[in-house]
Amino acid sequence: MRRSIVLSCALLTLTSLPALAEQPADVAAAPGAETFADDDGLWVRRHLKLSLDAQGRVTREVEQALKPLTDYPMREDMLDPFIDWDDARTELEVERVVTWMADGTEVEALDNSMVPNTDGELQWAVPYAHMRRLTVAHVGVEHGSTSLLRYRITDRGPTGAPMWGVQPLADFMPILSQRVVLEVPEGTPLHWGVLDGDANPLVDTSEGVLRLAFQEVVVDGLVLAENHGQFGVPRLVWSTARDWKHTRSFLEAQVVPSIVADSYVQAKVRELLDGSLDRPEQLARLHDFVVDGLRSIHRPAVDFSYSTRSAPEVLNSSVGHALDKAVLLVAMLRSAGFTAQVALASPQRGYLPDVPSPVPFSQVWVRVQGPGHAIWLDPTTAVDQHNGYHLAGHPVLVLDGEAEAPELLPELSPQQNQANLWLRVELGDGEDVLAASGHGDLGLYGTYNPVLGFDRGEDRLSGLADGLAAHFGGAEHQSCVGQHSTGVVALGAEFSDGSIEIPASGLVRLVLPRVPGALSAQQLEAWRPERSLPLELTAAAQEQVTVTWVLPEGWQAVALPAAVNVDNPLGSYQRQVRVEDGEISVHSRLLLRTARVGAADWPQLRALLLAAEPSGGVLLQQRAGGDS
Amino acid sequence: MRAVRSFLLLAVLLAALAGPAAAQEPAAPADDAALLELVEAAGDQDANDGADLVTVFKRTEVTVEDSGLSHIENREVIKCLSEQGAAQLARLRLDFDPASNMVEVRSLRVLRQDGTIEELDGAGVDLPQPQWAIYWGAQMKLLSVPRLAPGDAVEVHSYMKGFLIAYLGEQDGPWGALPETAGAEEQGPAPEPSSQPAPQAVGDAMEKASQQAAAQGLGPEPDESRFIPPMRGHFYDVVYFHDHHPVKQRHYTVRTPLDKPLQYEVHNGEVQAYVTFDGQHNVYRFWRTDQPAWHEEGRYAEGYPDLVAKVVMATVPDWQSKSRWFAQVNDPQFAATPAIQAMVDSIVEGLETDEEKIRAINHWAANQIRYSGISMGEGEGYTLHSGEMIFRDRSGVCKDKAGMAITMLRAAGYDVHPAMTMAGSRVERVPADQFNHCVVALRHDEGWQMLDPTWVTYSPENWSSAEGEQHYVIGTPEGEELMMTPSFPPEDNKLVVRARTELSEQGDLSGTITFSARGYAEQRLRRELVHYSSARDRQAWFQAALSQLGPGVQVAPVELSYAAIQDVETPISYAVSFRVPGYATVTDSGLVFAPPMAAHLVTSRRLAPYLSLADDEERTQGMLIWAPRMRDVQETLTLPKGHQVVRLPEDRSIDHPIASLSTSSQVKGRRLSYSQQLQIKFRTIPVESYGDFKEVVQEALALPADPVVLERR
Repeated sequence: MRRSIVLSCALLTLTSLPALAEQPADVAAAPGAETFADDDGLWVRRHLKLSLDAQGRVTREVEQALKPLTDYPMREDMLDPFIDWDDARTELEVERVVTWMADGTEVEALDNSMVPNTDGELQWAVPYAHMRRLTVAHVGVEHGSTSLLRYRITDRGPTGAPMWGVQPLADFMPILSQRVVLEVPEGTPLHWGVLDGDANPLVDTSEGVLRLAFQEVVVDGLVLAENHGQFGVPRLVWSTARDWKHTRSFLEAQVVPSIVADSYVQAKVRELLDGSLDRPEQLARLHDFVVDGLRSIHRPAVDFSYSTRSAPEVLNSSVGHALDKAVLLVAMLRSAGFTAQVALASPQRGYLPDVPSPVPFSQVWVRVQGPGHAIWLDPTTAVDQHNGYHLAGHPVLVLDGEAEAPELLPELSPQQNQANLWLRVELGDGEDVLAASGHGDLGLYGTYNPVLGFDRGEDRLSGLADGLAAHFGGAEHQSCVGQHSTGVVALGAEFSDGSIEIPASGLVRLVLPRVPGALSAQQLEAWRPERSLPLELTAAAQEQVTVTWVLPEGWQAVALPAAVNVDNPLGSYQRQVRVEDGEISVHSRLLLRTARVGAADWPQLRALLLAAEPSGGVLLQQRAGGDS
Repeated sequence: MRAVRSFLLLAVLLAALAGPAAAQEPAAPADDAALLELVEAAGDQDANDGADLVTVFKRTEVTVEDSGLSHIENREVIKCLSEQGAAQLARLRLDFDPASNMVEVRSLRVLRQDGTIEELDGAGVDLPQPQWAIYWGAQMKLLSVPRLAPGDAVEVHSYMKGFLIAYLGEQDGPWGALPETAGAEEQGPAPEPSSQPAPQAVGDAMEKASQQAAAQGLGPEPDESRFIPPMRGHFYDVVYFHDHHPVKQRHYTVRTPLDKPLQYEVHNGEVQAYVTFDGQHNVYRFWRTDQPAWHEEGRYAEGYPDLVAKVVMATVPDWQSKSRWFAQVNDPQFAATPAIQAMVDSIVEGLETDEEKIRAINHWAANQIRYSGISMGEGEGYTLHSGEMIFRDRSGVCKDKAGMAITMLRAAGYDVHPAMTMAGSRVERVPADQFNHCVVALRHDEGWQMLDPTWVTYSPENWSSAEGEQHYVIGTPEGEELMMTPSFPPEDNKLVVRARTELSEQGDLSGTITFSARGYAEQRLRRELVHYSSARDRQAWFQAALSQLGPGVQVAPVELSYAAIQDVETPISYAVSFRVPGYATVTDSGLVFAPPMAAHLVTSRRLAPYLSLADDEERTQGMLIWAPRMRDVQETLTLPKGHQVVRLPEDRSIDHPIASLSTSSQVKGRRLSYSQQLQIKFRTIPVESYGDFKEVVQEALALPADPVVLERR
């Protein structure tokens, strides 16, 4: 390789000025905007080759050629791509950076295009100064040009780690030539699979090497914005680990020795738990400290080869990636007498049981054995932002010394993940307003419950009651009785002295209430008539609302919401409306039977969302003459 | 300028008369015992408004040599007040730029609450600063601090030699970081053939970079020329006294040679100051104590340079000198090569007027030079890349896009010059570097015309109307004064909505809405579709906008072409056909609905930032929305047969100096005409105008609640 670099440098010295050189045939032949009018650009090539040699070293070779057709790829930094590598463990060599302009003029990048850089996350992490970034700023770029980057990252020596990884097989731009090649010594187990897609590799064995080549031409572009680029893109997953037990053992060898509660860690635990005898409170204090008292580096653990520093080191440095923080949290919890383990979790439901790769398990959590059930804690995020229920239905790999495979956590049923709201709003006639008072009951289960975690204060319960006040004309809640335990919060509140303005039109619109955290048509972008990617929600769900308005003397409803009954395989929505004795009652129930919605099923979910979206509500008007 | 000098003389006299007695000047602690007392006296979290940190003191001592080379000693003590504060102090970061300065840590200590003091290794780790779009090789020294407990403090004593390029200092946007949209649209040119051969093993590149950085650090420096500021013999600085946490004492001293007096001015609050002479130097001292934490009030808060206490200082006599220097260092960069000349000839071919040619070249530089700034080596930061380099690279930052336009315009025979400007803040009158952006000035017989090839991508303008009332200094051999661009009226930045709609007896709404825009609003609208939507998802922008009329809106495919979005010579206009089932509420006697166009369909912060800025009860900071704005809406709605209008929305007419709103509704036969004009009249909304602004915006937001009522006949 060295020889080829020296050679290419010599050639570049001779050709450092723009020159008309012969373009590669695929670059010259790549179509443009006339053929791909609906695209921002093309990946003329997107090639990846991973080789495991007989000594156990991995080489990653990347070649990508991008042809921008609009400014969008330029804005997305795709023409200033960066390469991250661990300089302590691997070596980076950039082999070629060149742009062929639209007329074929070749512009080789010079030294100033190779920009040593630092990931913004790592500016906080002195212990990880060996994690490097190189930005490659392409030059000569214009609409219709093609910029090529070719580089390789090689292990400096055998690492003992299996060769594993994930590669997306599609992008928001079409890929004209996609190739992923995996090479291992013959006899090495090589497991692979595709999440959210499929592939058929060419298999070849020669010269003692097993080679799998996944090749495709013209992979269509996707609308990544549908899922904010997070979910549903087909991904190739591979691993040379023998099985999940092997994978777990490897990870444990990296992680478990770091879980050390020395006197320093123990002293910190004592300090944090000082004055607390309550076990839930102790758990919360230690978790809060690890979340907020140390800076988080938001990079997946695979970037650090799943290596961690010891718990005392993490504590002393006040900074860590998710695995570091999990190690510290487990050490502190164990020091306090809890039973806890580190676990890797997939942010998505799907996983490949036959491919023992931890890479798709990109989140790190801590499992704590509670009385009769496990409590899941994200060591980088507060419980009220990211609680264990978000793992429902997700696979987790617990580093407990025993697991033979990832464990699929049970899905939440609609009954376990439901929200119920009951309101009785009594309206009275005022001068320019309708007086409002009444009572509200709220029950929130599973992911609807925002009051998870230990909290001695009443603020969070009170905050929920505040949220209901809008339905009582901004009334103060006079009393609020609530209770919360793991998974459930229930409260009842009395409201008084609220007022609803009577507008100049004389028509008062009463909005149909929704439960806090309701599935929202706007949030789920129900305005999209179709989707190209599947959608994954947190859990199946049920939302029930019953609201009763007691009308003031002399007032009547001139419009009521329509009764609705939608039922399809994904779920159902019913709304019933009753008017009786000066009262209007509306009862609605939204049921979502599944959390995962395929692209083809989107119209069904959309139908439910649109049906459940509050329509015009109730329209009140004073009767002619103003009396009843 | 004369006024400034008079002021300065007065300031010096007053300072000399008043001496340090104006307020007790905080002295540096004499020893560690005194230091620990100061740390203790800084108080705990409760005494510091709940802050996680407090700066016990920060003292800066600057000594300026005849050449302008500066030696800067910084000593700072920060106290940790919480566990979160400990996390924030886990590492300290000292920035430097190997091309113009070096930094070393003289000492790094932890002062424990129990009085023990721990000496730490101050060598730290030198790494490239995180860089995005501007790749000039700035470095940072990271210092690791062991876990602190609330009550502990960390003291760092550092030494820096050299000078700071203003836009690599505290400002977050070097020349061309686009204010409102940090990282908006820019593109650039090609690197000059550098002395280095091209692609090489990255290990080599990294190693070289780190050697280069290391070389600046410790030990004797054989050649200090790189530390001498480009405007040789001069010194400038802008000193702030705040931080994101409370600051108990901030003290700054600068010593200049006796023949280099410093002019300075204090802005945005009180700063104590006095001047003395020590036989070799003029000695200027500034301080401020008990500064509360500074927090921005939201995304559109005015920039801190216009709000917080600061001292602006410079030995440069006047702006003309700065202007001449800027012209001198950059003039050699604008030579056109035959390839550039050929491109210029092709751009202006067939164009007849100067206006057309200037516009074509300005927009060529805007659209063909990608915003990505690689380094030209020596001179980077204050020198525009050569035209040849930019043309080859087709990339650069704002100064390079300006450089391309200047090179091409000169090749086309025009008298053009580079200009420094400050997007988003004032430039104070003392001629210190206070610039973050670079543009083009074209000289006509009747005066200067400003061009900005960075800010007019996808814009029909030559100079963005988001750059009104903005200070600038043009670099010319004769020397120019500090000047300001004129303001723009809101009509120049108009979002125009025209709708022809129809309501059925069942309450279903259908019709066509046409969106068009002028000036800055037109650029924003185009950019919504090319920078914030991928090509396959552009239709979604219209679907999302019209979903304001109802989540079940059905939107017909909109004719969208990238070529049309790029073509700024043809005003852009999008006609959107749609249908909303069940739009109107059906009552016992008829229909109730809001005029559809009373809804704010375009809520994007890029097109209508003001809509989300009227929620605060009150404000203590003004807001900057970059350009005055106007929304002009007209709708003709055909009513269903067999109905009569029994109520129309109330007509509004609110007119404040900062903002106005007027609406009207009329019925003629089955045609209901609705119009709405909303104006935010200035780019800045001062605190004292916030109430009026809020009234107008909240009234506008409430319009959809004011219905039309139809009764069946």
